[in-house]
Amino acid sequence: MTNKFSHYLKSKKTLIRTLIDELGKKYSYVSVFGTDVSGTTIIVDNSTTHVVPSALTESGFVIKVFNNQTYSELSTNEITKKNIPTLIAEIDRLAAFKGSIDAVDVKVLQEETLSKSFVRKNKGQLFSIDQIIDILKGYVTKTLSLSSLVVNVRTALEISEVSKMFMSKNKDLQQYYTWTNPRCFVLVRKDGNTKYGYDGFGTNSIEKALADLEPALEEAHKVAIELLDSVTPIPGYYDVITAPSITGLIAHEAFGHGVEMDMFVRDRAKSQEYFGKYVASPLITMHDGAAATFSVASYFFDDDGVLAHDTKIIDNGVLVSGISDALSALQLGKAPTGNGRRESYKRKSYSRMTNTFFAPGKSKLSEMIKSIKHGYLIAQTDNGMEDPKNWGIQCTARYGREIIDGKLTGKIVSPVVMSGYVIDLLNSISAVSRDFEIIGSGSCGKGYKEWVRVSDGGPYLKAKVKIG
Amino acid sequence: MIKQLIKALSAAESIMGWLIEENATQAAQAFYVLQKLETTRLVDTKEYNITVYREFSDNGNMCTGSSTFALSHKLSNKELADKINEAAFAASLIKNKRYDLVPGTKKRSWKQQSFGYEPLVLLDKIADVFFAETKSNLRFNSLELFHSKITLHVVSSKGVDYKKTMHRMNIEAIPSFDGKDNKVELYRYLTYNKVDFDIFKNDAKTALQDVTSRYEAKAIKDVSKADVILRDEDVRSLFENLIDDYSYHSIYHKNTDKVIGDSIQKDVKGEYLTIALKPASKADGFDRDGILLSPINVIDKGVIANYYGSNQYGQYLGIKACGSLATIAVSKGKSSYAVMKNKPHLEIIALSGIQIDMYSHYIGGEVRLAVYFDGKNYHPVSGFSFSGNIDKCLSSLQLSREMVTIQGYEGPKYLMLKDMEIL
Repeated sequence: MTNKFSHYLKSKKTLIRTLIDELGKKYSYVSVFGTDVSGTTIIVDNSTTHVVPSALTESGFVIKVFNNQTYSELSTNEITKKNIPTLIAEIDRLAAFKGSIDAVDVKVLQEETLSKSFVRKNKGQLFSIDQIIDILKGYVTKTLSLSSLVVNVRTALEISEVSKMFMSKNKDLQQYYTWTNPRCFVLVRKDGNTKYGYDGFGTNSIEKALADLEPALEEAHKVAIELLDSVTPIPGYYDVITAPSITGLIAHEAFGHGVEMDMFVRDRAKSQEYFGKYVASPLITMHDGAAATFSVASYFFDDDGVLAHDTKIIDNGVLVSGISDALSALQLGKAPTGNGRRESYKRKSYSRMTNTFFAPGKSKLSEMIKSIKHGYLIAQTDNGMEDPKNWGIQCTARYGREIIDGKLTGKIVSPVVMSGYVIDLLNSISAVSRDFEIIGSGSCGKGYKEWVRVSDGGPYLKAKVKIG
Repeated sequence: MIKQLIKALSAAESIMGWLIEENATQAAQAFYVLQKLETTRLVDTKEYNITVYREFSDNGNMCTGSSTFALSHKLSNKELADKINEAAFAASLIKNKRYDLVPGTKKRSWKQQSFGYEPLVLLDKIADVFFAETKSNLRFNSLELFHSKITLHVVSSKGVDYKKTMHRMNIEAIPSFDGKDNKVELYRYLTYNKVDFDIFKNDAKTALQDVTSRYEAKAIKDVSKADVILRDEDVRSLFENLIDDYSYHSIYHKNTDKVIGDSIQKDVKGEYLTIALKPASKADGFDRDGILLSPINVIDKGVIANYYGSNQYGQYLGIKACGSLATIAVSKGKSSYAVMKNKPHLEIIALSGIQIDMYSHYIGGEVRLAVYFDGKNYHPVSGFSFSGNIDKCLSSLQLSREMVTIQGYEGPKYLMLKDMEIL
């Protein structure tokens, strides 16, 4: 790990400034976004070890221009003195393309003058690759020894260092930060019955990631063993308490996607009709933003060169704001919120969530459990799917712990697939705990594509949901 | 750049072998908002993954260690040598059981025929076909078109030098209907490996018909159980889950206790499943290890016939690896779609995503649009979920005679799951 901004990107700045000046003679808007993400994933299981590039690894540029009708972008991974004429010719060809379909009515992006550099280094001790492999192997061996039911154990550490820069006529921004994602998986089997436990989280400290992985493996093992006795839940409507990861999943899938404001431009979001209105129980306040909390999506500026925000989306049950990329905000006449994110430099920027969560409340978890006659405490995100226009919801949790007459019975159900109508679910929230946890290991798609790293979380919630 | 890489890797004395993957992408993308063009994009990139291998003895056991690094831009010779040394050091720490790299034959290349249009012109024509089917209140609020030409070139120290070029067309379409009381939409992600404007037209029409049905759909009432018909992507997804545990990697790591010869269907009252894996097309000649691809039967009449997967884990199981195959191929079913639809049933048009947990024997999903046939009339319905036990489903499965080809799947277009819980 270098702990400093990419030398490669830095070496391209003068050339990029030349390119921007040259294109600026023809186009009313020109920007260049550069990214150089390096990193390594080390995976150790009971019989093999792998060292491969971090899934975030990429290095390239997006050259963006506006021809007063449409925005055009060229993704390339080479900007050299020699190929600048070729790049300009490609941009010109793209921008000159006239198809049979009219262009949207959109103005030129306006940008404030801003020149800034941001750095967030890895915290704590750095580890060599042999040290990491040894530690991970030790964890695997220890977990295998916990029970004869353990069939396989896999641990992984994904270490990434991110350098990004954004340059335009008015802006010159660069940022460097690190992130580490530990993950673990424990597979157990008894009498032909196979189950697994897993965990994943994130931090900007390799030292902390390695330290926290050990208890995470123990917990994954414990859950996997418990799941051996799990049954699938009987479909029906239940009072539930959602653990922070499921609270986060609900915030993300139920409401977060529906306030991504590129959906507003496309008339794809029902929430547009609800600004200033109640969309949830008054106990609910929801935030999103790279600056809203510290987790995997805590960058300093987004891929459109807009500084990170903390956006309050729901304030005591009332919808107050959406989140946007620069182009969508421009089309809506709003200020962008720093949520323009690309899956990679080869893809477009969309309005995307970052760190999304419900704010903590005042209730005690123990009291919330006591208040349930028959229901579940549901935990651990598996997956979810949005429906921003029609507010359907599907959120899948790995397991639920049965609650009868205010007490956890020790019985466990799996998987727990919740579905229903967003507003019904959010309005059914009758208690919000004072706890708060954010889980920074998730990936989020928009529809079936455009995967970016996100975190979500919050307190424990008490709600009524359909499990089926 | 590939020449510089080969030279540097060949000069690295500490490594036993190497493999270079060169991924070249040329893509055109167009984004339409409320049926008007908002953004156009071109992608022209070349990226590399370089794997170095070492062979050594550890306590008398022969090991093969490997480490992979990525490159997207040219490095100086010194920088590249440093990268290779760093990777070689990492490989020396990896004490995986010994295996051989895939030997190459002669230099070969495969090429899928191009779509025959300049990519931006093609995208414009497709958008035109989609929008021609719309009305003022029945339209595509968002349409995103992606044309990609992807070339994979794999070169290794063992003589592999293969190149394949594939073309792909992906469309994300959001058909939307604005009614008197409500506005509704559906999500469609369509994939094509050929250009056929009749197919585009038909897919656009179907998407618009489906979203009209979603507007008309009512909540389902007084139905607690039903036979459920799935189609296309959901069928592919189910089969993908069914064979997931039978890869070499999965078998080696004991993710399942089932072995070749075991049945995945018990007490079969429906149809036996035969599931194969095959290359995505004739141009899909090899995988990233350099294995020349050919189809393999994974499930034969309900029984596990073969495992599948990549070189390293194939060798660990003592099997000649078939390579990483992209397409699931399922044999034709016995039931016609018309016969499947004779009795009361629910035909799922749009799910939020099929949920399958093989370890908990669970299958289900939230239904965004379905058509319920009560024995007399058809009713568009939405806002409910279905669920059931996957093992029971497999014993009574019905597969259609009608076939479909979509990205990653060739097989029955429809599949019926009996007696599912409806909530």
